[in-house]
Amino acid sequence: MFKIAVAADFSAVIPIIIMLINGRLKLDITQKLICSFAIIIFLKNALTYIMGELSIHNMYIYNWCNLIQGIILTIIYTILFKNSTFKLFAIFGITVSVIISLIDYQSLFDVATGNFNRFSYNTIGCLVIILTLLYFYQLIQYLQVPTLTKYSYFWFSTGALLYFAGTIFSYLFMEVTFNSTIQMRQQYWMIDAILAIIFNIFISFSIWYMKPGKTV
Amino acid sequence: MEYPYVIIIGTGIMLIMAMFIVLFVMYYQRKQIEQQMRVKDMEAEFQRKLLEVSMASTEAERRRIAQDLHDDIGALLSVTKLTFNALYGQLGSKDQAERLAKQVREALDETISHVRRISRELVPTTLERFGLPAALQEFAAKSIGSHTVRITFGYSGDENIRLEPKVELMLYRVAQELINNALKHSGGTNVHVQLSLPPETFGLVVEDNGHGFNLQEAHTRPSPGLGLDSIEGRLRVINGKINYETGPQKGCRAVVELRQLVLFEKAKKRDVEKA
Ligand SMILES: Nc1ncnc2c1ncn2[C@@H]1O[C@H](COP(=O)(O)OP(=O)(O)O)[C@@H](O)[C@H]1O
Ligand SMILES: [Mg+2]
Repeated sequence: MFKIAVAADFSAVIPIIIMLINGRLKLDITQKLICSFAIIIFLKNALTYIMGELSIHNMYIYNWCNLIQGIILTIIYTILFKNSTFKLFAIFGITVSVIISLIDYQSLFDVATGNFNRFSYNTIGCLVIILTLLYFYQLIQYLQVPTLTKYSYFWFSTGALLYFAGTIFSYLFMEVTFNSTIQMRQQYWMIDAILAIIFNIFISFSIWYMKPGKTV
Repeated sequence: MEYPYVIIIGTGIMLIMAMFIVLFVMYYQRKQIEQQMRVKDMEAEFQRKLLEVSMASTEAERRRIAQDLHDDIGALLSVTKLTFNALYGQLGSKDQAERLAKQVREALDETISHVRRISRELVPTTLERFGLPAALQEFAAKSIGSHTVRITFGYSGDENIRLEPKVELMLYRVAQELINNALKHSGGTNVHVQLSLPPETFGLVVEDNGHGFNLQEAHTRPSPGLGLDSIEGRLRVINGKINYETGPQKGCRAVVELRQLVLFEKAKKRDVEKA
Protein backbone atom coordinates (compact mmCIF):
# COMPACT_ATOMS: atom_id res chain seq x y z
CA MET A 1 0.00 0.00 0.00
CA PHE A 2 2.76 2.32 0.93
CA LYS A 3 4.61 1.53 -2.28
CA ILE A 4 1.73 2.62 -4.47
CA ALA A 5 1.59 5.95 -2.70
CA VAL A 6 5.27 6.44 -3.43
CA ALA A 7 4.75 5.43 -7.05
CA ALA A 8 1.95 7.97 -7.24
CA ASP A 9 4.24 10.64 -5.91
CA PHE A 10 6.85 9.78 -8.47
CA SER A 11 4.43 9.48 -11.38
CA ALA A 12 4.25 13.25 -11.32
CA VAL A 13 7.68 13.21 -12.92
CA ILE A 14 6.34 11.80 -16.20
CA PRO A 15 4.54 14.99 -17.32
CA ILE A 16 7.63 16.98 -16.44
CA ILE A 17 9.78 14.70 -18.60
CA ILE A 18 7.35 14.99 -21.51
CA MET A 19 7.41 18.74 -21.07
CA LEU A 20 11.19 18.72 -21.35
CA ILE A 21 11.06 16.47 -24.42
CA ASN A 22 8.52 18.74 -26.08
CA GLY A 23 11.02 21.50 -25.50
CA ARG A 24 10.49 25.00 -26.66
CA LEU A 25 7.05 24.83 -28.18
CA LYS A 26 5.25 28.13 -28.26
CA LEU A 27 2.30 27.46 -25.97
CA ASP A 28 -0.80 29.51 -25.44
CA ILE A 29 -2.17 30.47 -22.05
CA THR A 30 -4.30 27.37 -21.41
CA GLN A 31 -1.47 25.06 -22.42
CA LYS A 32 0.85 26.90 -20.07
CA LEU A 33 -1.75 26.49 -17.33
CA ILE A 34 -1.89 22.73 -17.89
CA CYS A 35 1.89 22.63 -17.68
CA SER A 36 1.88 24.66 -14.48
CA PHE A 37 -0.81 22.32 -13.15
CA ALA A 38 1.56 19.41 -13.72
CA ILE A 39 4.44 21.32 -12.19
CA ILE A 40 2.42 22.12 -9.08
CA ILE A 41 1.53 18.46 -8.62
CA PHE A 42 5.18 17.59 -9.03
CA LEU A 43 6.33 20.21 -6.52
CA LYS A 44 3.63 19.23 -4.06
CA ASN A 45 4.60 15.58 -4.27
CA ALA A 46 8.29 16.33 -3.91
CA LEU A 47 7.75 18.68 -1.02
CA THR A 48 5.32 16.49 0.92
CA TYR A 49 7.49 13.44 0.29
CA ILE A 50 10.53 15.12 1.75
CA MET A 51 8.56 16.58 4.63
CA GLY A 52 7.02 13.19 5.27
CA GLU A 53 10.43 11.59 5.38
CA LEU A 54 11.53 14.23 7.85
CA SER A 55 8.32 13.74 9.86
CA ILE A 56 7.27 17.35 9.44
CA HIS A 57 3.57 18.16 9.30
CA ASN A 58 2.61 18.51 5.67
CA MET A 59 -1.15 18.19 5.66
CA TYR A 60 -1.81 21.90 5.19
CA ILE A 61 0.22 21.78 1.97
CA TYR A 62 -2.15 19.20 0.54
CA ASN A 63 -5.05 21.39 1.47
CA TRP A 64 -3.57 24.46 -0.12
CA CYS A 65 -2.59 22.58 -3.25
CA ASN A 66 -6.09 21.24 -3.62
CA LEU A 67 -7.42 24.79 -3.64
CA ILE A 68 -4.79 26.01 -6.08
CA GLN A 69 -5.40 23.09 -8.43
CA GLY A 70 -9.11 23.78 -8.34
CA ILE A 71 -8.47 27.41 -9.21
CA ILE A 72 -6.12 26.55 -12.10
CA LEU A 73 -8.58 24.00 -13.50
CA THR A 74 -11.36 26.55 -13.32
CA ILE A 75 -9.28 29.13 -15.15
CA ILE A 76 -8.41 26.60 -17.84
CA TYR A 77 -12.03 25.71 -18.46
CA THR A 78 -13.22 29.28 -18.17
CA ILE A 79 -10.88 30.09 -21.04
CA LEU A 80 -11.82 26.99 -23.03
CA PHE A 81 -15.57 27.48 -22.72
CA LYS A 82 -17.24 29.36 -25.54
CA ASN A 83 -20.57 29.62 -23.78
CA SER A 84 -20.60 32.60 -21.41
CA THR A 85 -23.07 30.86 -19.07
CA PHE A 86 -20.54 28.06 -18.64
CA LYS A 87 -17.83 30.62 -17.96
CA LEU A 88 -19.95 32.35 -15.33
CA PHE A 89 -20.82 29.03 -13.75
CA ALA A 90 -17.15 28.08 -13.49
CA ILE A 91 -16.22 31.37 -11.83
CA PHE A 92 -19.20 31.21 -9.50
CA GLY A 93 -18.40 27.60 -8.61
CA ILE A 94 -14.80 28.24 -7.70
CA THR A 95 -15.70 31.33 -5.66
CA VAL A 96 -18.20 29.33 -3.64
CA SER A 97 -15.71 26.48 -3.22
CA VAL A 98 -13.00 28.76 -1.92
CA ILE A 99 -15.36 30.49 0.50
CA ILE A 100 -16.69 27.18 1.82
CA SER A 101 -13.23 25.74 2.22
CA LEU A 102 -12.26 28.75 4.34
CA ILE A 103 -14.86 27.64 6.89
CA ASP A 104 -12.42 24.90 7.81
CA TYR A 105 -9.67 27.50 8.15
CA GLN A 106 -7.73 25.37 10.61
CA SER A 107 -6.82 22.88 7.94
CA LEU A 108 -5.28 25.70 5.92
CA PHE A 109 -3.67 27.98 8.47
CA ASP A 110 -2.74 25.61 11.26
CA VAL A 111 0.66 24.30 10.21
CA ALA A 112 0.37 21.35 12.54
CA THR A 113 -3.02 20.24 11.33
CA GLY A 114 -3.50 16.55 10.69
CA ASN A 115 -6.76 16.85 8.84
CA PHE A 116 -7.85 17.25 5.28
CA ASN A 117 -10.01 20.27 4.63
CA ARG A 118 -13.53 19.04 5.24
CA PHE A 119 -15.11 20.91 2.34
CA SER A 120 -12.74 21.89 -0.44
CA TYR A 121 -12.10 18.35 -1.72
CA ASN A 122 -15.80 17.72 -2.16
CA THR A 123 -16.78 21.02 -3.64
CA ILE A 124 -13.79 21.24 -5.95
CA GLY A 125 -14.26 17.59 -6.96
CA CYS A 126 -17.88 18.23 -7.89
CA LEU A 127 -16.98 21.44 -9.66
CA VAL A 128 -14.26 19.82 -11.77
CA ILE A 129 -16.51 16.91 -12.70
CA ILE A 130 -19.18 19.32 -13.90
CA LEU A 131 -16.63 21.46 -15.76
CA THR A 132 -15.18 18.49 -17.63
CA LEU A 133 -18.66 17.26 -18.52
CA LEU A 134 -19.56 20.72 -19.82
CA TYR A 135 -16.35 20.71 -21.82
CA PHE A 136 -17.19 17.32 -23.33
CA TYR A 137 -20.59 18.70 -24.20
CA GLN A 138 -18.90 21.60 -25.94
CA LEU A 139 -16.60 19.21 -27.83
CA ILE A 140 -19.44 17.22 -29.34
CA GLN A 141 -21.45 20.35 -29.94
CA TYR A 142 -18.87 22.11 -32.09
CA LEU A 143 -17.15 19.08 -33.64
CA GLN A 144 -14.02 20.95 -34.57
CA VAL A 145 -11.55 18.29 -33.48
CA PRO A 146 -11.06 15.59 -36.10
CA THR A 147 -9.42 13.00 -33.79
CA LEU A 148 -10.02 13.34 -30.08
CA THR A 149 -7.28 10.89 -29.18
CA LYS A 150 -4.73 13.35 -30.52
CA TYR A 151 -6.27 16.32 -28.79
CA SER A 152 -4.47 17.72 -25.78
CA TYR A 153 -7.49 19.04 -23.89
CA PHE A 154 -9.40 15.82 -24.38
CA TRP A 155 -6.67 13.86 -22.63
CA PHE A 156 -6.48 16.40 -19.86
CA SER A 157 -10.25 16.48 -19.33
CA THR A 158 -10.51 12.71 -19.38
CA GLY A 159 -7.76 12.43 -16.79
CA ALA A 160 -9.38 15.06 -14.61
CA LEU A 161 -12.80 13.45 -14.90
CA LEU A 162 -11.50 9.99 -13.99
CA TYR A 163 -9.46 11.29 -11.07
CA PHE A 164 -12.10 13.48 -9.54
CA ALA A 165 -14.98 11.08 -10.21
CA GLY A 166 -12.96 8.24 -8.67
CA THR A 167 -11.96 10.14 -5.57
CA ILE A 168 -15.16 12.04 -4.88
CA PHE A 169 -16.72 9.26 -2.84
CA SER A 170 -13.76 8.83 -0.55
CA TYR A 171 -13.75 12.57 0.01
CA LEU A 172 -17.51 12.72 0.52
CA PHE A 173 -17.15 10.47 3.52
CA MET A 174 -14.07 12.31 4.65
CA GLU A 175 -14.72 11.75 8.35
CA VAL A 176 -14.75 7.99 7.85
CA THR A 177 -11.94 7.73 5.35
CA PHE A 178 -9.20 10.29 5.63
CA ASN A 179 -9.87 12.14 8.83
CA SER A 180 -10.23 9.01 10.96
CA THR A 181 -7.88 6.18 11.86
CA ILE A 182 -4.55 5.73 10.12
CA GLN A 183 -5.49 2.32 8.71
CA MET A 184 -8.64 3.72 7.13
CA ARG A 185 -6.74 6.61 5.73
CA GLN A 186 -4.16 4.41 4.06
CA GLN A 187 -6.82 2.23 2.53
CA TYR A 188 -8.37 5.18 0.74
CA TRP A 189 -5.07 6.74 0.07
CA MET A 190 -4.44 3.78 -2.22
CA ILE A 191 -7.43 4.56 -4.41
CA ASP A 192 -6.27 8.11 -4.59
CA ALA A 193 -2.75 6.99 -5.48
CA ILE A 194 -3.83 4.75 -8.34
CA LEU A 195 -6.07 7.45 -9.77
CA ALA A 196 -3.30 9.99 -9.36
CA ILE A 197 -0.98 7.81 -11.43
CA ILE A 198 -3.63 7.54 -14.13
CA PHE A 199 -4.20 11.28 -14.04
CA ASN A 200 -0.49 11.96 -14.40
CA ILE A 201 -0.28 9.63 -17.38
CA PHE A 202 -3.22 11.40 -19.00
CA ILE A 203 -1.64 14.77 -18.31
CA SER A 204 1.50 13.46 -19.98
CA PHE A 205 -0.48 12.59 -23.09
CA SER A 206 -2.09 16.00 -22.94
CA ILE A 207 1.28 17.69 -22.89
CA TRP A 208 2.59 15.36 -25.57
CA TYR A 209 -0.18 16.33 -27.98
CA MET A 210 0.12 20.06 -27.37
CA LYS A 211 0.73 22.00 -30.48
CA PRO A 212 0.82 25.70 -31.03
CA GLY A 213 -2.41 27.49 -31.84
CA LYS A 214 -6.05 26.39 -32.23
CA THR A 215 -8.14 25.48 -29.25
CA VAL A 216 -11.72 24.30 -29.20
CA MET B 1 -18.69 -1.26 8.89
CA GLU B 2 -21.20 -0.25 6.27
CA TYR B 3 -19.50 2.90 5.17
CA PRO B 4 -16.49 1.29 3.45
CA TYR B 5 -18.72 -0.74 1.16
CA VAL B 6 -20.77 2.27 0.22
CA ILE B 7 -17.60 4.15 -0.55
CA ILE B 8 -15.98 1.39 -2.60
CA ILE B 9 -19.12 0.72 -4.58
CA GLY B 10 -19.76 4.42 -5.04
CA THR B 11 -16.24 4.94 -6.29
CA GLY B 12 -16.62 2.03 -8.70
CA ILE B 13 -19.86 3.37 -10.06
CA MET B 14 -18.45 6.85 -10.48
CA LEU B 15 -15.42 5.50 -12.35
CA ILE B 16 -17.54 3.34 -14.63
CA MET B 17 -19.82 6.26 -15.35
CA ALA B 18 -16.87 8.49 -16.10
CA MET B 19 -15.39 5.95 -18.48
CA PHE B 20 -18.74 5.43 -20.12
CA ILE B 21 -19.11 9.16 -20.66
CA VAL B 22 -15.65 9.45 -22.17
CA LEU B 23 -16.26 6.52 -24.51
CA PHE B 24 -19.62 7.93 -25.48
CA VAL B 25 -18.08 11.31 -26.29
CA MET B 26 -15.45 9.63 -28.46
CA TYR B 27 -17.99 7.46 -30.25
CA TYR B 28 -20.52 10.23 -30.79
CA GLN B 29 -17.90 12.67 -32.01
CA ARG B 30 -16.48 10.13 -34.49
CA LYS B 31 -19.94 9.36 -35.84
CA GLN B 32 -20.84 13.03 -36.23
CA ILE B 33 -17.60 13.83 -38.02
CA GLU B 34 -18.09 10.92 -40.40
CA GLN B 35 -21.59 12.16 -41.07
CA GLN B 36 -20.30 15.65 -41.79
CA MET B 37 -17.72 14.31 -44.22
CA ARG B 38 -20.31 12.27 -46.01
CA VAL B 39 -22.50 15.33 -46.44
CA LYS B 40 -19.54 17.30 -47.74
CA ASP B 41 -18.68 14.56 -50.23
CA MET B 42 -22.24 14.51 -51.43
CA GLU B 43 -22.25 18.25 -51.86
CA ALA B 44 -19.03 18.16 -53.86
CA GLU B 45 -20.39 15.37 -56.01
CA PHE B 46 -23.58 17.32 -56.58
CA GLN B 47 -21.61 20.41 -57.58
CA ARG B 48 -19.57 18.34 -60.00
CA LYS B 49 -22.67 16.87 -61.58
CA LEU B 50 -24.23 20.29 -61.90
CA LEU B 51 -21.11 21.61 -63.59
CA GLU B 52 -20.99 18.64 -65.89
CA VAL B 53 -24.60 19.10 -66.96
CA SER B 54 -24.17 22.81 -67.56
CA MET B 55 -21.05 22.21 -69.62
CA ALA B 56 -22.70 19.49 -71.63
CA SER B 57 -25.56 21.86 -72.43
CA THR B 58 -23.10 24.56 -73.47
CA GLU B 59 -21.50 22.15 -75.89
CA ALA B 60 -24.89 21.14 -77.24
CA GLU B 61 -25.75 24.79 -77.75
CA ARG B 62 -22.53 25.40 -79.60
CA ARG B 63 -23.23 22.45 -81.81
CA ARG B 64 -26.67 23.81 -82.63
CA ILE B 65 -25.32 27.27 -83.41
CA ALA B 66 -22.58 25.79 -85.57
CA GLN B 67 -25.11 23.74 -87.46
CA ASP B 68 -27.38 26.75 -87.94
CA LEU B 69 -24.49 28.89 -89.08
CA HIS B 70 -23.31 26.31 -91.51
CA ASP B 71 -26.61 25.08 -92.86
CA ASP B 72 -28.79 28.19 -92.83
CA ILE B 73 -26.64 31.25 -93.03
CA GLY B 74 -23.86 29.58 -95.01
CA ALA B 75 -26.31 28.23 -97.54
CA LEU B 76 -28.17 31.51 -97.76
CA LEU B 77 -24.95 33.40 -98.33
CA SER B 78 -23.90 31.00 -101.06
CA VAL B 79 -27.22 31.45 -102.81
CA THR B 80 -26.90 35.19 -102.43
CA LYS B 81 -23.46 35.05 -103.98
CA LEU B 82 -24.73 33.06 -106.95
CA THR B 83 -27.55 35.51 -107.44
CA PHE B 84 -25.17 38.35 -107.18
CA ASN B 85 -22.88 36.79 -109.77
CA ALA B 86 -25.83 36.61 -112.11
CA LEU B 87 -26.67 40.24 -111.37
CA TYR B 88 -23.04 41.17 -111.97
CA GLY B 89 -23.24 39.63 -115.41
CA GLN B 90 -26.20 41.88 -116.21
CA LEU B 91 -24.31 45.02 -115.27
CA GLY B 92 -23.09 47.34 -117.94
CA SER B 93 -19.53 48.52 -117.85
CA LYS B 94 -20.12 51.57 -115.85
CA ASP B 95 -16.87 51.93 -113.90
CA GLN B 96 -18.48 53.01 -110.69
CA ALA B 97 -20.97 50.15 -110.60
CA GLU B 98 -18.29 47.63 -111.44
CA ARG B 99 -16.07 48.73 -108.61
CA LEU B 100 -18.92 48.60 -106.10
CA ALA B 101 -19.98 45.19 -107.33
CA LYS B 102 -16.47 43.87 -106.90
CA GLN B 103 -16.44 45.15 -103.35
CA VAL B 104 -19.74 43.50 -102.57
CA ARG B 105 -18.51 40.21 -103.98
CA GLU B 106 -15.35 40.31 -101.91
CA ALA B 107 -17.38 41.07 -98.82
CA LEU B 108 -19.61 38.12 -99.54
CA ASP B 109 -16.65 35.83 -100.04
CA GLU B 110 -15.17 36.94 -96.80
CA THR B 111 -18.44 36.50 -94.95
CA ILE B 112 -18.82 32.99 -96.28
CA SER B 113 -15.36 31.97 -95.21
CA HIS B 114 -15.90 33.54 -91.81
CA VAL B 115 -19.12 31.66 -91.30
CA ARG B 116 -17.34 28.47 -92.24
CA ARG B 117 -14.49 29.18 -89.88
CA ILE B 118 -16.75 30.13 -86.99
CA SER B 119 -18.91 27.07 -87.34
CA ARG B 120 -15.82 24.88 -87.52
CA GLU B 121 -14.35 26.52 -84.43
CA LEU B 122 -17.53 26.10 -82.46
CA VAL B 123 -17.34 22.35 -82.76
CA PRO B 124 -13.95 20.71 -82.92
CA THR B 125 -14.62 18.13 -85.58
CA THR B 126 -10.95 17.21 -85.88
CA LEU B 127 -11.01 16.28 -82.23
CA GLU B 128 -13.97 14.00 -82.65
CA ARG B 129 -12.48 12.27 -85.67
CA PHE B 130 -8.77 12.12 -84.96
CA GLY B 131 -8.30 12.75 -81.27
CA LEU B 132 -6.37 15.17 -79.13
CA PRO B 133 -2.94 15.31 -80.79
CA ALA B 134 -4.35 16.10 -84.20
CA ALA B 135 -6.85 18.59 -82.85
CA LEU B 136 -4.27 20.42 -80.75
CA GLN B 137 -1.84 20.48 -83.62
CA GLU B 138 -4.50 21.96 -85.84
CA PHE B 139 -5.49 24.51 -83.24
CA ALA B 140 -1.88 25.52 -82.71
CA ALA B 141 -1.31 25.86 -86.44
CA LYS B 142 -4.44 27.97 -86.84
CA SER B 143 -3.50 30.25 -83.94
CA ILE B 144 -0.14 31.13 -85.50
CA GLY B 145 -1.69 33.06 -88.37
CA SER B 146 -3.06 35.88 -86.29
CA HIS B 147 -0.14 36.45 -83.93
CA THR B 148 3.53 37.17 -84.01
CA VAL B 149 4.18 34.35 -81.62
CA ARG B 150 5.76 31.03 -82.43
CA ILE B 151 3.66 28.08 -81.33
CA THR B 152 5.19 24.65 -81.22
CA PHE B 153 3.46 21.42 -80.48
CA GLY B 154 4.85 18.07 -79.51
CA TYR B 155 3.50 14.85 -78.15
CA SER B 156 4.72 11.52 -76.88
CA GLY B 157 2.99 8.24 -76.30
CA ASP B 158 0.52 6.35 -78.41
CA GLU B 159 -1.34 8.78 -80.63
CA ASN B 160 -3.98 6.20 -81.41
CA ILE B 161 -5.16 6.02 -77.88
CA ARG B 162 -8.47 7.73 -77.47
CA LEU B 163 -9.88 8.95 -74.20
CA GLU B 164 -13.53 9.21 -73.34
CA PRO B 165 -15.08 11.80 -75.70
CA LYS B 166 -16.27 13.96 -72.81
CA VAL B 167 -12.79 13.98 -71.34
CA GLU B 168 -11.15 14.73 -74.66
CA LEU B 169 -13.45 17.65 -75.26
CA MET B 170 -12.81 19.08 -71.82
CA LEU B 171 -9.06 18.74 -72.23
CA TYR B 172 -9.26 20.35 -75.63
CA ARG B 173 -11.18 23.32 -74.24
CA VAL B 174 -8.69 23.64 -71.40
CA ALA B 175 -5.78 23.59 -73.82
CA GLN B 176 -7.56 26.15 -75.99
CA GLU B 177 -7.96 28.51 -73.06
CA LEU B 178 -4.37 28.00 -71.93
CA ILE B 179 -3.02 28.69 -75.41
CA ASN B 180 -5.27 31.69 -75.82
CA ASN B 181 -4.13 33.06 -72.48
CA ALA B 182 -0.51 32.59 -73.44
CA LEU B 183 -1.11 34.43 -76.72
CA LYS B 184 -3.24 37.15 -75.18
CA HIS B 185 -1.57 37.90 -71.86
CA SER B 186 1.93 36.50 -71.72
CA GLY B 187 3.67 38.94 -74.05
CA GLY B 188 6.18 36.23 -74.85
CA THR B 189 7.52 35.07 -78.19
CA ASN B 190 7.23 31.32 -77.83
CA VAL B 191 4.44 29.05 -76.75
CA HIS B 192 5.01 25.34 -76.46
CA VAL B 193 2.30 22.75 -76.09
CA GLN B 194 3.38 19.30 -75.01
CA LEU B 195 1.05 16.35 -74.74
CA SER B 196 1.96 12.99 -73.33
CA LEU B 197 -0.43 10.13 -73.83
CA PRO B 198 -0.53 6.59 -72.49
CA PRO B 199 1.33 4.27 -72.12
CA GLU B 200 3.07 7.05 -70.24
CA THR B 201 0.99 8.90 -67.72
CA PHE B 202 -1.22 11.52 -69.20
CA GLY B 203 0.03 15.07 -69.14
CA LEU B 204 -0.66 18.30 -70.93
CA VAL B 205 1.76 21.19 -70.62
CA VAL B 206 1.34 24.68 -72.05
CA GLU B 207 4.26 26.98 -71.43
CA ASP B 208 5.24 30.41 -72.60
CA ASN B 209 8.26 32.63 -72.14
CA GLY B 210 6.25 35.72 -71.31
CA HIS B 211 6.15 37.82 -68.19
CA GLY B 212 4.10 35.40 -66.13
CA PHE B 213 1.54 36.42 -63.56
CA ASN B 214 0.60 36.16 -59.94
CA LEU B 215 -1.98 33.42 -59.59
CA GLN B 216 -3.30 34.64 -56.26
CA GLU B 217 -3.73 38.10 -57.64
CA ALA B 218 -5.45 36.87 -60.80
CA HIS B 219 -7.99 35.06 -58.65
CA THR B 220 -8.68 37.91 -56.26
CA ARG B 221 -8.74 40.69 -58.84
CA PRO B 222 -11.95 42.78 -58.68
CA SER B 223 -13.15 41.46 -62.04
CA PRO B 224 -11.35 38.21 -62.63
CA GLY B 225 -11.38 36.58 -66.04
CA LEU B 226 -13.61 33.60 -66.64
CA GLY B 227 -10.84 31.56 -68.22
CA LEU B 228 -8.99 30.32 -65.17
CA ASP B 229 -12.24 29.51 -63.39
CA SER B 230 -13.63 27.59 -66.33
CA ILE B 231 -10.41 25.59 -66.51
CA GLU B 232 -10.80 24.66 -62.86
CA GLY B 233 -14.42 23.72 -63.38
CA ARG B 234 -13.77 21.57 -66.41
CA LEU B 235 -10.95 19.76 -64.70
CA ARG B 236 -13.10 19.12 -61.67
CA VAL B 237 -15.65 17.42 -63.88
CA ILE B 238 -13.09 15.06 -65.41
CA ASN B 239 -11.21 14.56 -62.18
CA GLY B 240 -8.10 16.38 -63.23
CA LYS B 241 -5.92 19.05 -61.74
CA ILE B 242 -3.87 21.94 -62.97
CA ASN B 243 -0.71 23.40 -61.61
CA TYR B 244 0.73 26.73 -62.67
CA GLU B 245 4.43 27.27 -62.33
CA THR B 246 4.62 30.99 -62.76
CA GLY B 247 5.63 34.21 -61.17
CA PRO B 248 6.41 37.73 -62.27
CA GLN B 249 8.95 37.66 -65.11
CA LYS B 250 9.15 33.89 -65.03
CA GLY B 251 6.87 32.92 -67.90
CA CYS B 252 4.09 30.52 -67.26
CA ARG B 253 4.05 26.77 -67.34
CA ALA B 254 0.67 25.14 -66.85
CA VAL B 255 0.64 21.41 -66.19
CA VAL B 256 -2.60 19.47 -66.48
CA GLU B 257 -2.87 15.99 -65.05
CA LEU B 258 -5.65 13.47 -64.70
CA ARG B 259 -6.23 11.53 -61.51
CA GLN B 260 -7.67 8.62 -63.37
CA LEU B 261 -7.54 7.83 -67.02
CA VAL B 262 -10.44 6.27 -68.88
CA LEU B 263 -9.36 4.94 -72.23
CA PHE B 264 -11.98 4.79 -74.86
CA GLU B 265 -10.79 2.92 -77.90
CA LYS B 266 -7.84 2.61 -80.17
CA ALA B 267 -8.96 4.47 -83.22
CA LYS B 268 -7.77 3.22 -86.54
CA LYS B 269 -6.25 6.55 -87.19
CA ARG B 270 -3.16 5.30 -88.96
CA ASP B 271 -5.30 4.13 -91.87
CA VAL B 272 -7.10 7.42 -92.07
CA GLU B 273 -3.82 9.26 -92.08
CA LYS B 274 -2.40 7.22 -94.88
CA ALA B 275 -5.47 7.65 -97.02
N1 LIG C 1 0.13 32.69 -69.76
C1 LIG C 1 -0.12 33.82 -69.07
N2 LIG C 1 0.82 34.78 -68.98
C2 LIG C 1 0.58 35.92 -68.28
N3 LIG C 1 -0.56 36.19 -67.64
C3 LIG C 1 -1.55 35.28 -67.72
C4 LIG C 1 -1.39 34.05 -68.43
N4 LIG C 1 -2.52 33.33 -68.30
C5 LIG C 1 -3.35 34.08 -67.55
N5 LIG C 1 -2.79 35.25 -67.21
C6 LIG C 1 -3.37 36.28 -66.35
O1 LIG C 1 -4.49 35.74 -65.66
C7 LIG C 1 -5.61 36.54 -65.85
C8 LIG C 1 -6.87 35.70 -65.88
O2 LIG C 1 -6.97 34.94 -67.06
P1 LIG C 1 -8.36 34.42 -67.56
O3 LIG C 1 -9.09 33.88 -66.38
O4 LIG C 1 -8.14 33.48 -68.69
O5 LIG C 1 -9.13 35.72 -68.01
P2 LIG C 1 -9.11 36.44 -69.41
O6 LIG C 1 -8.29 35.62 -70.34
O7 LIG C 1 -10.52 36.51 -69.77
O8 LIG C 1 -8.50 37.78 -69.11
C9 LIG C 1 -5.36 37.27 -67.13
O9 LIG C 1 -6.01 38.50 -67.15
C10 LIG C 1 -3.86 37.46 -67.12
O10 LIG C 1 -3.50 38.61 -66.41
MG1 LIG D 1 -8.41 33.77 -70.77
